[in-house]
Amino acid sequence: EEEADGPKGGRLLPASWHPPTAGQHAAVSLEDEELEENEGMGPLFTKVSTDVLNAEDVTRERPAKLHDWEREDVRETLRNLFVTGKWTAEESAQEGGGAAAFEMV
Amino acid sequence: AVQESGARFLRQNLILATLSGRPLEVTDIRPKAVPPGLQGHEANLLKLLDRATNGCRIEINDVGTAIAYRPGLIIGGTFTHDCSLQRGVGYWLEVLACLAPFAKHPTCATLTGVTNSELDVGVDVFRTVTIPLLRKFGVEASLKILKRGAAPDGGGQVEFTCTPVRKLEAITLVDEGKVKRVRGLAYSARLSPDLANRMVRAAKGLLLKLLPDVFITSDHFKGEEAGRSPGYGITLVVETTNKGDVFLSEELVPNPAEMDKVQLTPEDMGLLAAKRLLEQLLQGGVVDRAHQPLTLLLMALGPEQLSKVLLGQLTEAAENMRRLLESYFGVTFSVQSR
Repeated sequence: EEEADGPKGGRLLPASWHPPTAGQHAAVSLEDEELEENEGMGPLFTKVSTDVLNAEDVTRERPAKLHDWEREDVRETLRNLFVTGKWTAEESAQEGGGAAAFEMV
Repeated sequence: AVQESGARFLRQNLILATLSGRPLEVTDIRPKAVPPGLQGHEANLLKLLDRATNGCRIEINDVGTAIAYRPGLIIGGTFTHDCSLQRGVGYWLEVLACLAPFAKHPTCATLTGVTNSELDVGVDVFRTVTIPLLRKFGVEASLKILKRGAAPDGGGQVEFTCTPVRKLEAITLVDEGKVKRVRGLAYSARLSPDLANRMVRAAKGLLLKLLPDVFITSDHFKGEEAGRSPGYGITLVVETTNKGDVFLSEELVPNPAEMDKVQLTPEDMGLLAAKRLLEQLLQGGVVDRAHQPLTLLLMALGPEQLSKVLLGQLTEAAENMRRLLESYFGVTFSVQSR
């Protein structure tokens, strides 16, 4: 992602940075905001916030957004995942069936 | 020692440190929170580890923002553990499910606390999906639900038993088959039994549009076995033509944190559970999102033979498990997209 932004996108280097002109090196201002956020580690490193490292320990992650399953056209996209949908020849051959009922209680 | 920072994947780290016998140091545990450091449920988990293993050493700094853990031998045995009420017992069961198969003795752990919670895998999912998944790897385990317990006061009780496994089995789970039925359980405790029926009706309303065979039991708990707080919830499990080789479920209980903002009716909950189940089906995979990390772990610890599994998009927990398996055990996964 960062590469796509390019160095001028400001993610890798502070905004005050310019490509050096011949014989001159641009100084990186240490007061730059982005550097400060970075706790002076320099433009090559990014610091991961402790909030991210300390997010809730959850194994069951829920998707942030759900499709509108009440719409019929959306539901129909799943149709062939069900026995009521279309079967390929290979799939029908595999269906052995006849397993005992799965008790939920 | 393995160095990690942050509490987010503390459980995975503790599990892998214990299984690999490698010491672990975790720093930067909620340094900015008030109060900082470890929270009640995490300290409680360390107690459980101390109980289930022999000779482990746990050091915590004064503010609780750093711990050093030197694992001991996994012993197992019979014990009772009071889980703290911030999290569901699933939080602790997930850890036991990873450790007990490799214990010296059979494990029979009675856990008390909140049986079904928004954040953690509920006991119904554990019993109908996690246990069969363990069995697929050759692990003999069972879960008995003795009492229900909802947040905030809990009062639930479950008994987890597990026999040590001599050798895990390699798995090849690459075909989902086609969805044949949906089974489920809706329950209410200390509340009108009608709540469960209303959830069932709403969930079925949506699912029946795709599939004729939907059967959801409703169950009502009262008195001793209902726990200390009123609660209700719904669990749905998918069965396919590859019966026994698909581990797909969804569960919904009221979220106390959101209760004041959005009050979900039982109808909303039944419908939302059904929608989330469909969302998981769309994602694909033989194992649902909640069980991805456990599956990766048991595959990595398995025999030399190659194990294969088909998963939907990996969750962050599963990605992290993959990273940790590489740093603790040097196991790598080869990933192909289909």
